[in-house]
Amino acid sequence: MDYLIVFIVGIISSITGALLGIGGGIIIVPALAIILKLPMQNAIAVSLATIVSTSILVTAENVKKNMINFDMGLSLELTTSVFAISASFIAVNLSQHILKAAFGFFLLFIAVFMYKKPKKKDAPCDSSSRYSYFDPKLDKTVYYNVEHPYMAVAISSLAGFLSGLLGIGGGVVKVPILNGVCRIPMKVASSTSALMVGVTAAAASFVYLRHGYILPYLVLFTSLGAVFGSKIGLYISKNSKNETIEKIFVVVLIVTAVEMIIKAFS
Amino acid sequence: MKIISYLLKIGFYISMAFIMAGLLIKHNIGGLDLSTAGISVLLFTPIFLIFSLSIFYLYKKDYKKFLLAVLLIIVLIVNIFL
Repeated sequence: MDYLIVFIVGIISSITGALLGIGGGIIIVPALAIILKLPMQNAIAVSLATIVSTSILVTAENVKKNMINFDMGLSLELTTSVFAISASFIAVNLSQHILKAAFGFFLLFIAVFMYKKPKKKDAPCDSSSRYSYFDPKLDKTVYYNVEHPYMAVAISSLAGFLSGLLGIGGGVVKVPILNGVCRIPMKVASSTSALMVGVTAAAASFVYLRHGYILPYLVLFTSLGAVFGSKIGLYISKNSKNETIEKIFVVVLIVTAVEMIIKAFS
Repeated sequence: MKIISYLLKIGFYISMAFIMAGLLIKHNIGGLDLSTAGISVLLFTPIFLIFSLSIFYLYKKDYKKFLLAVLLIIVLIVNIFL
C-alpha cells in the first residue's frame, strides 16, 4: 500500500513539475511526512534521491538538444554543492520539529512566490553574443549573453543550502536566478537548472545515505511514478490552461504549510 | 554529447534494476545489499556526467571548463569520504 502511495506521489510531483515548473521535493517531502508519517530526515533523503533520478532523465534529453549552458552550470554548481553538503550535515542533526517548521515556512514562501509570479525575461537576440542555442519552435538560433554571474553564484549558494536542508531540488530558486539575474533564455535556464538540481541533490544525498536515511524502495517507486507522471504532465500542459491549476496549487501549498507548522509546534 | 545522454539513461536504468532486484531477492549477495548498490549507482551518475564533461572539455582544449569540472568532481568525491 505504501508503495502505491509513493508511486502516486511521484506521479503528482512530476505532473506539477511539468505544469507549473514546481514539483519534486515540495510535493514529495510533505507527502511522505504527513501521509506515511516518515521522519523528516527520511522524507528529505527519499526526495533528494528521486530528484537525482528525474534530473538524470531530463538532462539526458537536454544534452542531446544542446540546451544546457555548461559554463554557467559548472560555475554555479561548485559553490551550490558545497552549501548543499554543509546543509545536509546540519539537517541530519536537527530535530523533527525544526525541520517541519522550516519546511512549512518555506512552503508559505513558495505559495506567495507563485501568487506574485515574476515575469519571464528573455535576452534580446544579437549574433555577437557569446552563447547560442537552436530553438526548434522559433526555427532560428537564439543568441544571448550571461549577466551578473557573481551575484548568481551568491544566490545559487542559498538554493544549495535549501536543497540540502529541506530536500528540495532548488529549481524554484535557480530558474529565476538564471533567467532574471543572468538574463539566460527561459528554455536554457530551466535545462541548466535541471542539470544543477541533480548534481546538488546527489551531493546532499551522500550525507543522508551514510546516515542510513535513504529508503531505496520508496525511491524506486517515486522515481517510476515521476517518469510516468512526466508524460501525463506534458499531455495535460498541451491541452489545458495553467492558471486555474496554479491557484488550486497555491491553496494546497498554504494548507500543507499550515499543517506542517502546526505539527512542528504540537 | 549523444554518448553522454545514452550513458545517463543507462545509469538510471541500471540503478532502478538494482533496487528492483533488491526488492525481489530480499537478501544480500556476497555481503552486497542490492538496493543500496542501486542507490549508489544512482547518486554516482551525476558525478559520472561531470567526469564525462571534463574529458569532453579536455579533448576540446577548453581548460577553464575542464578545471571547473575537475574542481566539482573533487568536491563531490571528498564529500563521499567525509
